[in-house]
Amino acid sequence: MTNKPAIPEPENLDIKQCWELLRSVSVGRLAVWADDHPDIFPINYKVDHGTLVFRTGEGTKLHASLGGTPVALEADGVDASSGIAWSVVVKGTTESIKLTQDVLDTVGLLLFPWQAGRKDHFVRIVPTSMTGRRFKVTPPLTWWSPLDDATLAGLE
Amino acid sequence: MNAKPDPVVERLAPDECWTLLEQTNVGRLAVLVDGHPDIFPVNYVLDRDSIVFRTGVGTKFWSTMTTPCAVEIDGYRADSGKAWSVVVRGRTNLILDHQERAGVDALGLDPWQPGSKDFYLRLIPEAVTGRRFTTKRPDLWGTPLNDARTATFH
Repeated sequence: MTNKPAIPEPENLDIKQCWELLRSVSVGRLAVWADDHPDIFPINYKVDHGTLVFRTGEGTKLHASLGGTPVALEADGVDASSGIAWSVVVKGTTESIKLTQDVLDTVGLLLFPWQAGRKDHFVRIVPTSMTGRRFKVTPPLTWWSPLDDATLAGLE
Repeated sequence: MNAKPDPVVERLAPDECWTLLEQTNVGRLAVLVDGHPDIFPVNYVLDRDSIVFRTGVGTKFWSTMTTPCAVEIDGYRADSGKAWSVVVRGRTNLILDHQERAGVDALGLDPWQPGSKDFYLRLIPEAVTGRRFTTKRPDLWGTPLNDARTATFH
């Protein structure tokens, strides 16, 4: 490692790359507007036919995400050996969905086998825009989220 | 089987939230941009009771300066099998004083994302909340990323 490596500019990702990366992890952070401030929650999501589906119980996350304002979901990761990190942000609108067999086929395996908890609501994010970047992490490599590619339990 | 299962969601005490904030250096910043929530990963340092991060001039900068924002951090502990999430909400101030900026640099604020990040913003917390949850699928947590992160930290 040199002290001052040349730092390349971030590379913008195309939509296809964004979707690929979104499919490669299962944990993201959902930003919502709750009354008069933003809030953020880690969520498990699953890509479903050009949309993202997550499950939630009653509470701030449900109400804020369905409150009429749009939401943003961010997912990220890093390749430790290369130090290349990526971050994808999906902005979109949300709709509450019923748990049909079709939805279950897509999201069921990922979103179900958790800690007991009444997570009865499924929310679909319909993307209105998607941006992604890939960049070399500037040393020191102090990264990344231990929640990526993992399944959470017990989120409200 | 334990007779007394853990609660699904545990609230974290403020002290614990601050400890986790101190031990972490990457979070996600949520701001409102043109009426739309947006979210960015950020490097930060905890400076006394506030969160300081750097940004370039741009939408993140202006939005952060003009609307309330929130920073979230999270993690997973293999020893307890539990994940946690801490959210800090508040408003930000621009740090103009050179000495103050130097003080923050000395704490190790070092953006890992390339690009110019000339502005130092200080998030003054108005609310700090934390939660911890249990997972029944610890096998799903043993990811290469986790391992990489652990290796990086030691």
